[in-house]
Amino acid sequence: MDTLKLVIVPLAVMLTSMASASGIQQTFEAKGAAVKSKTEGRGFTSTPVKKGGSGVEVAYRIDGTPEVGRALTILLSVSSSSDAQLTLRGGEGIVLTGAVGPLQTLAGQTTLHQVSVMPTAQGRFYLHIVSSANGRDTASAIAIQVGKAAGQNKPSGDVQVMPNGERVISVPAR
Amino acid sequence: MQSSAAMHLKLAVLVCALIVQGCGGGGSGVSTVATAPSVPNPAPVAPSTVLVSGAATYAFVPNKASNGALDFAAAVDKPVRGATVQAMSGSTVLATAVTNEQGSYALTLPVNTSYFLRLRAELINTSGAAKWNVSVKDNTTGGALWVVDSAVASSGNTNSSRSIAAGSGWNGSRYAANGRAAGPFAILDTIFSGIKLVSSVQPTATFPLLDVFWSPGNNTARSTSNDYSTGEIGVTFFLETIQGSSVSRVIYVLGKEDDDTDEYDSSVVGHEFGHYLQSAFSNDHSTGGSHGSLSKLDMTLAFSEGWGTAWSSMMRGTPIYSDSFGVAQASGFAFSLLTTPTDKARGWYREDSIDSGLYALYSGQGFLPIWTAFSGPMASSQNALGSIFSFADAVRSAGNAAVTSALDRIFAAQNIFTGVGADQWGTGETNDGGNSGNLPIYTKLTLNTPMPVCFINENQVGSSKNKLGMLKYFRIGLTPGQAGVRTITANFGVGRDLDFTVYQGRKVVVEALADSLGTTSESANASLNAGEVVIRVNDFITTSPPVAPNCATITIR
Repeated sequence: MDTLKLVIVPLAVMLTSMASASGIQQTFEAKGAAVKSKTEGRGFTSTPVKKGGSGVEVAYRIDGTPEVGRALTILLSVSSSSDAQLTLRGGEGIVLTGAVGPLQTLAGQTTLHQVSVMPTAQGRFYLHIVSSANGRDTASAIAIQVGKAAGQNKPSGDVQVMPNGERVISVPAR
Repeated sequence: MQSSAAMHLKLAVLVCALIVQGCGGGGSGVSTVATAPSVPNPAPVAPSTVLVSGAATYAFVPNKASNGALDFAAAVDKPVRGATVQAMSGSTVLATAVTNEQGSYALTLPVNTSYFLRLRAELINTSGAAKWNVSVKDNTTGGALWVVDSAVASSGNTNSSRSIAAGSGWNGSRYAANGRAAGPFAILDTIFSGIKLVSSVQPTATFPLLDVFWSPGNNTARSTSNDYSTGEIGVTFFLETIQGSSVSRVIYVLGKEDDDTDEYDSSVVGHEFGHYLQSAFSNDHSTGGSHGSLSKLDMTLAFSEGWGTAWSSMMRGTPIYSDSFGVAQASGFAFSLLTTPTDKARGWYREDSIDSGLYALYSGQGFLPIWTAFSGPMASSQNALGSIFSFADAVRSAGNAAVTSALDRIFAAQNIFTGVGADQWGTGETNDGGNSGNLPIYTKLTLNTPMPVCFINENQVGSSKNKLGMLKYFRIGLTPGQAGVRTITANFGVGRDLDFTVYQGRKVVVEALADSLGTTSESANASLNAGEVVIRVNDFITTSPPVAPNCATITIR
């Protein structure tokens, strides 16, 4: 489960509070067009934890700029209230060059794991992670942007604009 | 929306008309009155319209009972209920109908006209006693509505039967490109079940607009800029956005194969719809954020998550919660709400205690007392933020002795105080979650008197800020003479950054969320009426690993 709540207060000083699924309270304070982000500044990005899943909290930091054919280090910060393990899988365009897991984290501890991957093409690719604890699992992914090529998402149907301006995405009946 | 009764009436009239036409046409030329004068029969009048009737179905893929993985071998066709069906000619709508509980529809079309059937992923009922408007759209294509189109055919010159089916697109090992027609309708069907359950106890319920965003591109990476048009939504989640007096509610659903798909995980969709219901009909102040079933959570998060899971089982009619993921959607997990926690960490801060308790209450007492409390006192007359205490107090206020007795027995077994004096504020609670600093649930404030507040981070996991002891609650009852603009101030040590929110009547009055790192105080002015005021305080700064509790003061002047 996850709930995000976005409160937009139209004041001279706008306060926007978002309790994110990732567990990070992101707060933005804006005056006019200037937006200042209130973060913890440690460079880690949390991955969301799914309702009913492992409950393991995984944050990551990508060290360096992803380039084709060059090893890239990703630092994983793993925290869990019970013994946990991670398994890794490289998606299209990503080859794991180091450990694929399982990476262990003991109950009540935060463990740093260093992971090495090699981009094989330009584009936006994903390192897939499955965290497991208490017999439950959560899938998450880390996006790795290699170069400026756009992501691979293509429409999964025929996008049409109707005479009334409505957009529909059509897929064929069976 | 055209009701099924109206459709049946329409069908009956048309059939009757055709029968009358057939009987009166005299086509047989047989007369039973031998002496009647011979009168030429009029030429048969060709019908100008025909009726095309059929049923809409979608392929439903269940979770395996053993591990929650999707079981494609057990896929079945289910009716598409309450959705819009159109007969189209190009981009022109020729006729529109709404499917009934069996997925049936009837469309009146001009004869001999080329058309195709279009099944729209929407549930719209704006004319019934209960009203709703739910759509499933694609967040990666600018919010386009999902539709399923049939091949083109001719309406002919006689009534005909023509059905439409949305397939899963599964070819035995992968989903076919552009073939996942059933996904949006699986989501809609789960939500339709929820609407039906609520409507059964509140026939005039008005469900606020709900958009569900699903795409086969929705994956488990989370956009760092919250740009969900990329498909990087991270997780299936409910999002409420408040802007002035306007509130929008949307649900994002995962759909990326080999990663995590949730369109068939009705447990997950139902859970998120439960968050929508709490937002739309009740009292929701959940912190949100990550959480685990064994974690000790902030009370608002524990109740919100527990409610979502319990509700999901109520509306699906099963205590089993399942979730699939992974390569070929062949992994997953499942658990039963009948398995109530029996370990030491039971209580008002544990979502498993809440969801198993609520489901037990539903199993014994039905949905009516739960919904009555949830959408009644909890949403309208209470001042406390949504928690198991406010829910229980709302149930008790209905005065049904049997329900109250069941409630008290069930939650007492979860180490939640249900004795004499129990109220919406958690008064009388003695379960401190292992740290006496977690009580009382709400600390009473006095005007102009600094009150110590100590944050407990022993339950912190990673950088999370939503665990038991990390948010503290205060209340003060203002007399009419004390109403007016009041200043609330948090004073804290160097290196901390306290934030707080002031509520009255469950509504946010003011938030103080500035980046105060480098200072030692944060203040906000709030215009307050007489009555109860609630202040929720947290420390934005967390450290990993957690450090000893840090203390500050909160003052209202």
